[in-house]
Amino acid sequence: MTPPPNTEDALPSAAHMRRNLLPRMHAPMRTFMVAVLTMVWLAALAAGALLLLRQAIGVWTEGVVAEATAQVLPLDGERAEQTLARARRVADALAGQPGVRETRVLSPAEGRALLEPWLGDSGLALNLPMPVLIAVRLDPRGPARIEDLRRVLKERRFANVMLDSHGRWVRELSDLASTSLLLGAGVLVLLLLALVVLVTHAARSALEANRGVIEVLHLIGAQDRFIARQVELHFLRGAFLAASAGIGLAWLTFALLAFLAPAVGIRESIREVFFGFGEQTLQAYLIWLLIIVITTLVSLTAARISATRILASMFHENG
Amino acid sequence: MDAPDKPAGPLIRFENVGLRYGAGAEVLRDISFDLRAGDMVFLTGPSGAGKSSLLKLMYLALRPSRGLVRLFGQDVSTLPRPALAELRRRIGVVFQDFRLLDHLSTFENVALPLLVRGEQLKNYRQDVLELLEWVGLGGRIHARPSVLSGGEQQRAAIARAIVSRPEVLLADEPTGNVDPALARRLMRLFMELNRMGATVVIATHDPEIIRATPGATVMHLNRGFLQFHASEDGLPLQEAPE
Repeated sequence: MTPPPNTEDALPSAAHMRRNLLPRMHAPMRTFMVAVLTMVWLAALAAGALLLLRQAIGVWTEGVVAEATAQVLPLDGERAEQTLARARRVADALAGQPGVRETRVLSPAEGRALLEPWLGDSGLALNLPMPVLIAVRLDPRGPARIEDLRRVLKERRFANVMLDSHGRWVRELSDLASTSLLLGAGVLVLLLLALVVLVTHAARSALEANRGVIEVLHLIGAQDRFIARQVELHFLRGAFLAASAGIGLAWLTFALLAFLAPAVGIRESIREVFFGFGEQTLQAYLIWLLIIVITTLVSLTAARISATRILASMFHENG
Repeated sequence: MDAPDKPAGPLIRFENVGLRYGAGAEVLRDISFDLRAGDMVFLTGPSGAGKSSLLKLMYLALRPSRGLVRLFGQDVSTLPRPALAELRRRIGVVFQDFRLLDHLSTFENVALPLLVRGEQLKNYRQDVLELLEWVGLGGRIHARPSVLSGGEQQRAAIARAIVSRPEVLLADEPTGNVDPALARRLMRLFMELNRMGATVVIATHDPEIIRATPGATVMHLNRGFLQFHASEDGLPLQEAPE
């Protein structure tokens, strides 16, 4: 509401006057706030993506580590039904071992389906001597050692049985995961660096645009520390508001993705990481809070340095 | 106004002051004078003579390249920054371009010198309102400078300069942008302040205003040199040395 004109009652309070010594919403300040908002939004998205990646890698790795595959290869002259029967015996032998949660013998049709991506559905697989596969689900809390299971198979004299722990796959996945996380962390660090540079530059420009105001305050007798404090408070408010808005926007982005992401898995991961009640959610919000704190501190420092520089240039020999 | 050889105790003393910008030639050379409490002084000279630079030295916006500047008995070259701010509070300045802050209301602009020195609003609120009334801006306290006329801005700038009752008032071309009637009104305001004890220095081009202010001293700047004469004389006492 516009204050009624020419009434003393509508005069501003001293606190209001101090808060408004520097213009709040002039163009350079708006540019500064938009820069902060955008960079914080990007950094929060990058940090969020990194958390999602870490969570996804955790789920995949856990799934792979908790499984092993046994291949029962046909013996010379053995018919398919005989191989299948032998596979069932192997499965039963493994199922009773500690650290094994369950075993399941894949049917010949399931086995052929696994080869379809390579052989097509022309029926070629029907004529090949196909091994029978056994999916061995290990107990994730105390998985059986592959060497122990191999020893059991050897003791029971099961011939032509190969047990695969997916070790190579796990190693490769682990390498890929480490690389992806490292890359993600690198992107985040770069984004944070860009945030620091951009926010510093924007704060300097915004303050430089206020040089005239600082000069007037200086010439009417304001102490340097008074001016510096007003500048700091001005940028503290602006940076905090813009950074909080950036985080709010990132939250909104993930909230939308939690409903609109094309893959169900991604939607579930987003809900778990950002809208759950677990440690991951707490971690995500703490990281976002840290981004707000970093941005605000960087803005504050940049503004303080610029204000000191501007003040130092006043009452100068060469004007 | 006293010549440099008058007794000690001036509010402002310049001794052989020189000023140059960067590596350029001196714009002010060997400037020496004393200003005492209650002096009324006009600073004249052609454009580019250094009037604004001399005022800037007086209100501590610039440091001299050489010479001694003493304000209120203190050598400004030896003072720390907080002490310089304290000295600035004893000087009111009407800038040539007013330098009102566009984002503040007339009331806020005028109250600014009191706000920055940490005074309580309740202690000065009424004073500021009365001052605004006195300069004819009582009905414009909420207006931003952008909606004030040139004359109103001029008066707001003057009100800001005198709100803290400074001992010295410096005004740079305060009648430069107003019509003759308003110029006369503003001059009456300055003379009133002078009668109340303030030392007033007005940089101006306007000979009519000088002639209409009997008893004032004229400091005439020409090519960086300063000459003195009485306001009734109308012309400088001598030309600047080659």
